[in-house]
Amino acid sequence: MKLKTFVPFLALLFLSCGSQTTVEKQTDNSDYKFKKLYGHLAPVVPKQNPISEAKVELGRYLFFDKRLSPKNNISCGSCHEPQHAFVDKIRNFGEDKFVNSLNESVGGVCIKCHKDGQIEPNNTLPLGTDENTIIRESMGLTNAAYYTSYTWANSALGTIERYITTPLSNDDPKELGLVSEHEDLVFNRILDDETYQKLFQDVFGDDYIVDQKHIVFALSSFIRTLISFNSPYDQYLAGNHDALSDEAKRGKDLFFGEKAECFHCHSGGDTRFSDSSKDIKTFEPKAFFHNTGLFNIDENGSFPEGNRGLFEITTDLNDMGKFKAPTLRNIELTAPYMHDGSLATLHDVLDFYSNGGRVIENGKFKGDGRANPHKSSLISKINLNEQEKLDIIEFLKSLTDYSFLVDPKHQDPFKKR
Amino acid sequence: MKKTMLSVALMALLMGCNESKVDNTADNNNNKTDIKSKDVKIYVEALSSHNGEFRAINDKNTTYTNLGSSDVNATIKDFRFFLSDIKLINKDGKEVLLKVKESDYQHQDTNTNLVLFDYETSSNKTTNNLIDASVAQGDYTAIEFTLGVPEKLNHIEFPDINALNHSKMAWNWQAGRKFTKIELLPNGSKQWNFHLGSTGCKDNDGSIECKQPNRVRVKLDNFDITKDTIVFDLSKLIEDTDITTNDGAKPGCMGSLADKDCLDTFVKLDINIDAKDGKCTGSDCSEQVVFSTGSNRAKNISGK
Repeated sequence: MKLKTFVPFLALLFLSCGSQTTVEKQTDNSDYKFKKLYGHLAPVVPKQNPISEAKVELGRYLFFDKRLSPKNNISCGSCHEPQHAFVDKIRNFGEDKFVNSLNESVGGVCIKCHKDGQIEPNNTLPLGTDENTIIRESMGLTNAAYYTSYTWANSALGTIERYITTPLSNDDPKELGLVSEHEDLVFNRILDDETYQKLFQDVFGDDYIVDQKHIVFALSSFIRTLISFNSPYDQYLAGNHDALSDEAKRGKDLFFGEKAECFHCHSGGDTRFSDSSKDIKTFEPKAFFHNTGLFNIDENGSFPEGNRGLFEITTDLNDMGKFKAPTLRNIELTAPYMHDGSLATLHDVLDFYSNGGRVIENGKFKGDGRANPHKSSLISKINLNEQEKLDIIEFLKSLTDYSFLVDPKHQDPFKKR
Repeated sequence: MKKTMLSVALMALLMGCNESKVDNTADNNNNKTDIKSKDVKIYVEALSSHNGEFRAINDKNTTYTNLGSSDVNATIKDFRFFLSDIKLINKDGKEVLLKVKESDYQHQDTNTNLVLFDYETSSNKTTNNLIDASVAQGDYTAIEFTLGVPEKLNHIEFPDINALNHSKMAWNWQAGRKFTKIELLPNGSKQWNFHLGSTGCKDNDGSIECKQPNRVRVKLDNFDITKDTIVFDLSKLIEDTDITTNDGAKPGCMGSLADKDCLDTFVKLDINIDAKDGKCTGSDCSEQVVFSTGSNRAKNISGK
C-alpha cells in the first residue's frame, strides 16, 4: 500500500514543482469502474475527486450515518432511502391518506403544504435535524451523477461536491445541521471510530484528515455510483419486446410523440429523461429550468415566496417558477410530485400537463397557472383522454428498476440484516 | 510514511523547488527598489451609533438600543465581514496594495489581499479587528478597500487559504462566500440577518459567474494610517430598515435584490438597486454611508 502511494505521489510532485497546486494524496488509484449497462456512457467525475472502490465504500458509511448530524438524529439516508429510489419514506404512507388531505384542499392545492403561506408540520415534506420542515421534497438520487445542476432549481451548483455542502451544513434551511461550530464534535466522532479509521486509511492514507472536504468527496463518490439503467424499458430497448405491456408501448409513443411532447424536457442522452444531463461525451453540457404553470399568483406569474425556483438564485423575473426537470427513472416510487409535493399521484401529474397548467380558484395562491407569463412554450393544453393518461403512466412505471432498489452496494451498512 | 515524505521532500529540494517558494514579506518583494517597507496596523471598528454616541460591537450579551427605523433594542448574534483589495493612496494619487501578514484571518494573494473581521466575543474563540500589514514607505493620505471577497477567490471549493477557510462564511447555495454575516436578535421578534454576497450565480461547466457581484468599493480620504480607524456603523446600515418585520421569505436580507429587506440597506451601501446588477451607482460606491474614518471613539458598553 505504501509503495503504491509513493510512486505516483512522487511523479506528481515533480510535475507540479514550483506551482502552488496541492495534490490530493490518495492511496487508491481511481479503480472504480462504472457498470456498462446497455451501452450507457459513464458519468463525468471531477478531476479533483477521482473515484475508487474504497472511497465509494467510505461514502456509503457516511451517507447512512446519523452521527454526521450534530444532534445524531438524521443522515443523508433519512431523506434518501434506497428502497424508495432515494427519496424519503414519509411518502410511503399510502395514497389514501394523501387523497384525504387533498380533500381539505382548495382548488387542488394541498393546503397542508401551504396553509396561509406557511409550511405546516405533518405533511409530506421532509424534516431537518430540528424537526424543521424543508420547503421542498427531497429529490431522488437516481442517476444523480449525470445531472448538470443540483437541487430543484440552482444554476450555481454544477457538481455533486458543490451540492452536498448545502444539505450537510446549510443554516437555512437546516438539514443535517453540520454548521461550523459543531464540526469538531462530528469530526471527532468519526476520528474515534475504528471502522472509519480503516475506511479513511484505505482511501486517503495513514495521514488522513477528517474534515468537510474529505467527507464531501467520499459522499459524492458514493452518490455518483447510484446508477439505474436496468428497467423493463431498458430491456425492451435491448430487444426484449415482451418487457413492455401494450399500454406501456402506447404510452411510450405518446411520450416521445408530438401530442404529449414529454420528451422535450425529459430527454438527455436519449434515456436519462432529464434535459439537465451530461455524460463524458456531452458537447457543451447545460442546465435547463422550466416554468410549467403550477402557480400564477395575482396573475403576475408569481410563485409562492421562498419557493420561486431559479428566481430565488438569479432574481431575474424571467426565471420565476423555473425548476429542473428531474429524471423520470423510478418516478413511480417518488410520489408526491413536483418540487413542493403538491400533486399526489402520477395521474394528477398527467391531468396537470394535459390541462397545460393548474388553476387555483381560491385562497392565497389563487390564479390561473395555465396563463403564467413565464410558462414554458412547450406546455400547452393537450387534452389527453383517460386512456392516453393511463398509457403514459404505464410507460412511466416501466422505468422502475428493481435491481437498483435492492443493490447491496446501495444499502445502509448500519442496518442489521 | 514519514520516511516516504522525507525522501519526497529531499528530492524536491534537490530539484531546486525551494527557489520558487513564494515569499510574502514586503522587504523581499521590494528589494530591487530602494523603497523600504514599514509595518502598518489599521484597526477596523464595528459599532452602532445614536445621538453622537458610539457603542462598540464586541459582545453577544449586550443589548444595543435604538436600532433600525423602528428604534428597537437588539442583541448581536454574529458580526463578521470580509474586506479585500486594501490599498493606500499616496499624495500623488498612486495606489499601493497593502501586504497583509498570513494569519488565521488574513491572506495575501497575487495582486490582492483578504482580511476577515470577526466581532463575536461570547465564545472563547479568537476574533479579529485588525489589518496587520506592511507597505512601502511613503506619504499616504487615503485608504481604499472592498467589502467582499475578490471574484478570483470567492468560488474556490474547500480552500486551503487563510481567512477564506472559515466555513461559517461559506454561502453554499450561491457557490461562494458571505461577504457579511450580521445577525441581530431584536427584542420580541425573530432573528434578522444581513448576509451579503454575489448572487445570480451560474456554473458554466466548472467556472462560476455571478450576475450581481454586490461588492462595495470604499474610499476614505484624509486617512491617517498612523492613528485613524476604519468604522463599520451598523446603525447607518439599517437606519431605514425595520428589523422587527420581515418582508421576504428569508429573515432579513440574504443578498437578493428581490428581497424588500435588502433594498434599504443596499441604498446605504450605494448598491444601485434600480440597475439590478449589484453594482454601485456611478463608477464607485462614493455615496455609501456605512464606512467612515474613526479614531477609537466607540464606547465599550459591555463593561469589558
